[in-house]
Amino acid sequence: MKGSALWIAWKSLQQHALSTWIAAVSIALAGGLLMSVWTLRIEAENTFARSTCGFDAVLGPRSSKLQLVLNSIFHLEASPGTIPGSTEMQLKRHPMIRNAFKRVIPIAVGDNYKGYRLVGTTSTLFTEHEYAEGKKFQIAGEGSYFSADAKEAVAGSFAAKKLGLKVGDTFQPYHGLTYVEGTQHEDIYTITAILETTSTPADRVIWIPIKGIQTMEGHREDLQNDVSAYLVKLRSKKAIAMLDPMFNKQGKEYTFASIVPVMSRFFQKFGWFEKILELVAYLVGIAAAGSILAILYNIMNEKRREIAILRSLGARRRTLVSMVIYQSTGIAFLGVILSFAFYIIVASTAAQIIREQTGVVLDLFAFQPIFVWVPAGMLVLGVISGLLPAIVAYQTEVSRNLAPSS
Amino acid sequence: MEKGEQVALQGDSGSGKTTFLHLLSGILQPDQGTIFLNGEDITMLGEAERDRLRATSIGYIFQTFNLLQGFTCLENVLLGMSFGPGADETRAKELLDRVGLSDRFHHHPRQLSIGQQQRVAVARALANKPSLVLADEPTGNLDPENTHLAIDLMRELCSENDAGLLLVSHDVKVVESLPRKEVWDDMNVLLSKGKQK
Repeated sequence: MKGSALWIAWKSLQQHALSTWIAAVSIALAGGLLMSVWTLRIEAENTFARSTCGFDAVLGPRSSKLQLVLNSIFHLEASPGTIPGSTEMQLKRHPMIRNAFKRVIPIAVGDNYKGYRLVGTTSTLFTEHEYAEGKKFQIAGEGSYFSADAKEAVAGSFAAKKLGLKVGDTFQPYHGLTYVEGTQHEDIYTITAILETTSTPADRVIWIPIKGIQTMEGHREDLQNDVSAYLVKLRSKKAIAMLDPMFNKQGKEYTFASIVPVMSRFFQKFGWFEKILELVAYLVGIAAAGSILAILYNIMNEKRREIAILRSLGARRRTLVSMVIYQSTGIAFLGVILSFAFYIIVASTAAQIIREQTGVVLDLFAFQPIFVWVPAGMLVLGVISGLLPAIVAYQTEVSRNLAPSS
Repeated sequence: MEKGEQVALQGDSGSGKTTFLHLLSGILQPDQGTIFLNGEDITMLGEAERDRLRATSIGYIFQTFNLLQGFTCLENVLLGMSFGPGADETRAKELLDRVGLSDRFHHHPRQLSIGQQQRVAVARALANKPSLVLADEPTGNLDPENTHLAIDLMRELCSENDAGLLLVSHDVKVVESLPRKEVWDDMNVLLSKGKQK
């Protein structure tokens, strides 16, 4: 390798290590940002659509569908209100609804423990429901699900880990969905089980019997039979076409929200933000290419004498052109490697935040086409940005740039 | 010049000595006239062929040595053969050893004295086993003692490698240390001499 154009290019990059690193880092920022924006968008959209905890829809009080889904499935946002607990019985009397609904699980919210939501529900959620195809909730280690009338709690894996809860621990819930010190209820709950990780929003929840929320000390007595929403598993998703107008257009009491379309529309709302991030990434990419060009152009100008010396030693013009292109491609290649490191840092941080806020786990290492075309694009950009400096090298006049004439 | 002959060319500054060497090495192409090297008219060669000629048949020593600062002594010598016969680390080390720099292989030019840099330049000029070494004021930056040593070294190495030496200088002492000398006041004089021949 010694003596080749590649070797000379490598030596030159070493000689200008600082400039090389600056250009490579610029490329890495652009590439890493592009890959992060793209992957997070795709993965978040796909994963959120999959993280429905096995439910197809939510039935709740009259409100926005998005608020209802975020509150009931993802345990985010404020509760839009309550509906009477007798609703379930009324619905079951309606033959079309009875046929369409496979399972209905009530939930009630309104309290938290140090920022982690308490969700009241029935043990059917654990014993009969599948949160994903063929997967039911499982207890990690020893423990048992709560009894309907006891002050017992089952903690999701993430909540238990963050709060340091284990079976047998007791805690006093705080009022409201956000943690405010000094708002503790008098009720004392005992942890009876910790759930296995499901990588769904359920991991961030502390589940208690629905009666627990309804009758919690300090809650309104007139609402003691109300529920926040019903989580609905349909026999067939085709029923959505019938149920949506029935509840949302003909009826005025409830909102029926089909989870996947609601979440798709939610992500579509962020389209403009993604576009801006992508635009920023493209601009950074162009700036990075410009910096390679400027750096190499300056190097070539500084090195006219060295180029002339190499020519005097017999280097051909095309050898020098290759040398410059190798340098620009080398900088781009270094940038590509760094861009993956940058991507891992940015995407992991974002994924961690998403996990902490929603319980949803993104698979950042799933293959995406962008992992090919961004590096390829950056290498092409590297070659292109080396062209002008290569022309400088090509056109360097040997005689004029060698030692001063005697 | 005969094969292996050592000739000094004396001329004042600005008289065209460097331009003449550039013509001989094919760096510059003359408007008219012919230049024969090893029996071949190099003015008839294209640029790539002249590049090849420099890479294989000509060694160049400059007044300011023109060593590449980012490269070590060994690498500078390797560059002297890279575009011709190809990098041969053994030969490069032998040459550096021959010029007394066996303990400076991995030093960069800035870490060397002027005299040592000059010796690296000599080693580089002979790296591609040239038939002709062109030395352009090679001792211009040296003190008298180092000048004397450098001329002797160049002459010895050229003889050992069967290379001719054409040395241009304005320094009478340097010129007189070579077996044959040509003096010119102006390039035109030499050109007219050439025409007469």
